[in-house]
Amino acid sequence: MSEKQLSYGVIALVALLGLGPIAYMVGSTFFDSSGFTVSGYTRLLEDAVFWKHAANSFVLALTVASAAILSGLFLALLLTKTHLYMRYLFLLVLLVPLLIPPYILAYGWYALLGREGLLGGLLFGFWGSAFVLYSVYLPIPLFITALFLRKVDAGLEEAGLLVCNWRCVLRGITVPLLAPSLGLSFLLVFILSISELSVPQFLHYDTFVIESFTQFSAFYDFKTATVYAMPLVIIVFAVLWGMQGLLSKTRYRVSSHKKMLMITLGKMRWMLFLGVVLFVAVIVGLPLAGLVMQSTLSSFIHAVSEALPVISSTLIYGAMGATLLTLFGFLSAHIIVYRTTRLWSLFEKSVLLIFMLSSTVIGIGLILFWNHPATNIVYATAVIILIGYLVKYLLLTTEISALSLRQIPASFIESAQLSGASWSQRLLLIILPLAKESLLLAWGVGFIFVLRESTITMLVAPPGETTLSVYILTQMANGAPAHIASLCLIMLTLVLLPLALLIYRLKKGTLYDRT
Amino acid sequence: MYRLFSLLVLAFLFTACSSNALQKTVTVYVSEDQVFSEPLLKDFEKESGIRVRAVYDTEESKSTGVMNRLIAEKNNPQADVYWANEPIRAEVLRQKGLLQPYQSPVAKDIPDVFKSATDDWTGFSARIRLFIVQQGMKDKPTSIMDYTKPEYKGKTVIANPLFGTTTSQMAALFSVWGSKKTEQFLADLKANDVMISTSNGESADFVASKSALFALVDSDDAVSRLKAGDAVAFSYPDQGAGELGVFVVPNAVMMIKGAPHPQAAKKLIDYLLSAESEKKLAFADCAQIPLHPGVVMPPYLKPMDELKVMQVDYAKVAQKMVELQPLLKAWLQK
Repeated sequence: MSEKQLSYGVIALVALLGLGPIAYMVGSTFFDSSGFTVSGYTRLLEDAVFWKHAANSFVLALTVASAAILSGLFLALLLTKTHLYMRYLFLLVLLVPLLIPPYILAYGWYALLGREGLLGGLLFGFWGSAFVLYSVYLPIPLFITALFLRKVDAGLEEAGLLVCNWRCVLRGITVPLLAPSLGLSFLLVFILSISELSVPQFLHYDTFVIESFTQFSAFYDFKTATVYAMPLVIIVFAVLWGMQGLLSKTRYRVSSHKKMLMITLGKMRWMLFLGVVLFVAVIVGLPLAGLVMQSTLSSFIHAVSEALPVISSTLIYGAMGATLLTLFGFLSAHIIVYRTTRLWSLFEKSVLLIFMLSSTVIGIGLILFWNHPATNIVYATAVIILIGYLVKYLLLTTEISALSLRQIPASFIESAQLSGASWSQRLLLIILPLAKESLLLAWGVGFIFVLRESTITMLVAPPGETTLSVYILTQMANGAPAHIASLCLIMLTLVLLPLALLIYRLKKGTLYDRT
Repeated sequence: MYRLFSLLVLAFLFTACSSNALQKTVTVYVSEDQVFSEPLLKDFEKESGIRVRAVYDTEESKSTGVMNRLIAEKNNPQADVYWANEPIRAEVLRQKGLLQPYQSPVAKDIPDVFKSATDDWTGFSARIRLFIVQQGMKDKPTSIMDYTKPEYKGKTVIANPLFGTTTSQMAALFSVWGSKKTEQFLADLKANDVMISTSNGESADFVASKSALFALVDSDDAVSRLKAGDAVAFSYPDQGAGELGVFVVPNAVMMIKGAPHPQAAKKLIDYLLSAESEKKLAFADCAQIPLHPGVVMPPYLKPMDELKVMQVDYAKVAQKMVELQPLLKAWLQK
């Protein structure tokens, strides 16, 4: 098999598994028993409730993205550009909400505040949804900005400091240079918030993703459900277009080989430290404390024993999904980084597009595409869940692998090529060993995201198969609060344990940078 | 690399084959809450030796998530049995030609009103639609028409009629009263500032927290608040002479046309329809009322033979429910 054949094979498989269902789903909306029609889209345009919910979604996503960007920027500066106490610990703790299913955080707040009273009343509706989503997606601008901060040209900041203080340098040099990263973060948080289903649904805030999901699950109307998902697809395309410009700007606006300049906090150090402690306690500590308070030791033990088969299958799905994601992520990164075919750019955008689509859209697409007697071996078995995971999260493992492949000096590959090494020898004997740390990271990230996924699993899991994430959702209907809280804590443990192991392992490797 | 690839292929084959490995199985899709339905299905597994493969609805897609799977899988059915938490959805499936008629021998003494005329589905263990009221309320509501009384203006609540059993009840009213009277009733609800909650559970919470005087809810929502120690009481609507009676929402069980395991499916259906299963569901937290006469039940609810029941044709109610959606949507937006 040649390098090109392998590349085309991977592209064809991803197209079949990911783009096929989406194309099938969209295509079906233009046809009914009488032939070509756009009646579904006409109905959509005339549906006042849908557009009201679309406006709700837009305001929610805008609020979450704006709040996350502003505080993400401030926190990134504080936790990477100063010598604040325990800043690495804060970074890790703030990452936790992104790693667990968002509804667990929502449930944690519900366990703490209930439905009644001023705070309970605020939780259910816009403000609660916005706050929970904000805490879930805050790590995105925080970590992206922290990463870009390290690339800001220290020379420019040094020059600035000659004529004014840090406040002026941050305002005039550092933050403007971070604009692309802030834009990228804004768009990512906006898209993720606008496509989120579980939090607004749990906290009773009507959004257009819920409307699309309801069309599917309350009115049994697949075509209308697909039509109602289309505005999200249009937004994704708009975002892709927007990101293209922003990403290309980052290639020349920031670069540095100098060490990052640090800001001295002076007397503010303790005050800011306490402020961050308080912030972290509210964002992460309180909802988790809510779960711990509602759970009891006996309910926790009972939950573990009752959910043991589900926990085992969750771990198996997590491991298999992560392995598939790592393998395909590595092969996809190889196609993109080494441009092994002319389709590399289109392939990269397709992977990004699928990631941006809501899980509901992907789930519906998978059912429509694979639910036929001829494809029973896929649809009627757990394979369909693995396909869902692969399609949805391929971007993550691809990008992690690509990051690592880009760091391998071209001279290594060229020398091997000149020495007569075939492409497969170069791949297996040079690239793969050099990328093994990133593959481990990709596996860990894949595992965590597979574990927290619920929507695709809920839509396509075959009878008798479930994961902990979905099991918790089914138990939420009239289940004992202590039992549900215990299940949420088990989920938290399942996610955090591999994360801790991963961090411990990577600390010894080359990827983990404590600068 | 090749070793990894081989391992993956093996894992794929294992995953693909494992689900169909056991022959003695029955696949059931369940809309009843997992916490109530799973213990009964586990009992069936123990007693029959047949493995149950279940798909449960999640809270967010309550009553309807698995319905879509059944419809999507019409040409390639995966399920043998569907356990619906109300008969309306069963009727929708019947009208779409998804059901296989089956007359269970254990359901002979279940009243015919709770069965499909064509044996497509059979009802069992019912919820009823009753008023949950604040404890100590002097003049408890006795009819759903009380929602429109001026003294209760802005003080009562009803769940969003676009979803769940409230939709079914509205459709039942349309089928019994006709369009004109029901539309007037809906208009009067609006005029009397009846609050709209997102679910029956939330309506019950409104009453428990004294935010509303009364609410029409499912009996299990009311019982759960009573068991939790909330200061609430019940009132059975429309029990007087010439009045409608309570709207009954039985569970419904049915066999899927083309079920892969028809014999096991019949055994499961017989098991769920038995008086013993009804007794278990009556004493569970869902407190569902048995339809078999003479089944022992807890004291906080009246048995079915002591209630005046709304006489409805669930097939007509199902038909009305589909027609009603635009009207109810428009009513909500007013």
